Amino acid sequence: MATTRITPDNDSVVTEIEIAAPPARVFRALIEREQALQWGGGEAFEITEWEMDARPGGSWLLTSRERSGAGTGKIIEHHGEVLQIEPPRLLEVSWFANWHPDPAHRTVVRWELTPTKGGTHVIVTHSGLAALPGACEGYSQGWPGLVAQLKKFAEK
Amino acid sequence: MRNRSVTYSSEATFQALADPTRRAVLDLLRRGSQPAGEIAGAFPVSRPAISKHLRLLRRAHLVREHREGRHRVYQLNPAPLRAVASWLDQYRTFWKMNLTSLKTFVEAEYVKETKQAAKTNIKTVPGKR
Repeated sequence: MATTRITPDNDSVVTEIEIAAPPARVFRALIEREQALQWGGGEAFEITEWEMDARPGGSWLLTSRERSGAGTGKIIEHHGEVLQIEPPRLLEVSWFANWHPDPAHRTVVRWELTPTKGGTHVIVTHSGLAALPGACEGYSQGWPGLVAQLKKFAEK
Repeated sequence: MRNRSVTYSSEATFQALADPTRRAVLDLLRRGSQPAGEIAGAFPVSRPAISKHLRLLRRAHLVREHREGRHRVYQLNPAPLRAVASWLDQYRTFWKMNLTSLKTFVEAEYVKETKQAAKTNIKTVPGKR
């Protein structure tokens, strides 16, 4: 089970999980296209494009489309640059989204992989969230299709 | 706002919002309080079904109920919605789901790959694959 918390400065979300596979195996899933296409969308989203130039300064792109529900067909786009990469233990990227109220606002996602007896401990830190402008007024705004996804998530 | 975030469970709020009828009930109540009968009349679902939805919304603190004479009147409480509308909460859920997908995928692949590697290490008997 993934655990998640918000940092005291209200700027970052830190999410952690244990994976029963070595760090190198996990890292492949993060940076290899035919790997990412298989898990990156989850149940509710279908990935339409995925690219990553896995070098410092390289760009990455993820576009996806909601499979069903009110937002069906709507294209969601994420992109950014690779800031740091040290396989198999660290990947840091800038993260922009076309659905953020300010699509030019930069956030940062950092993946840290640590070997454990059982496999890999993964920590993802997503920072720069406090400064995202325009706090939502209504639940219908924000991450497209979130509520539909959450229905499935809440039922697990 | 900080204190309200502590009081309201974002998981309960998301679960409450996961149903389209419940979302529509909240939309209705945004325009003002309504008695139970009026709410039921606005939807093509049975009265017991609406009661069930209202109970769930009450438990998530998204609506408040009070009596006016013999009528139960419902009122929207927007505070939990504001709490989960924050980017922080949305990304908490997003990353939880993402990491769960990653784990499921990588573990399944790793098992397959390890079995495959074990097979190719076994000497094959002539005539058999």
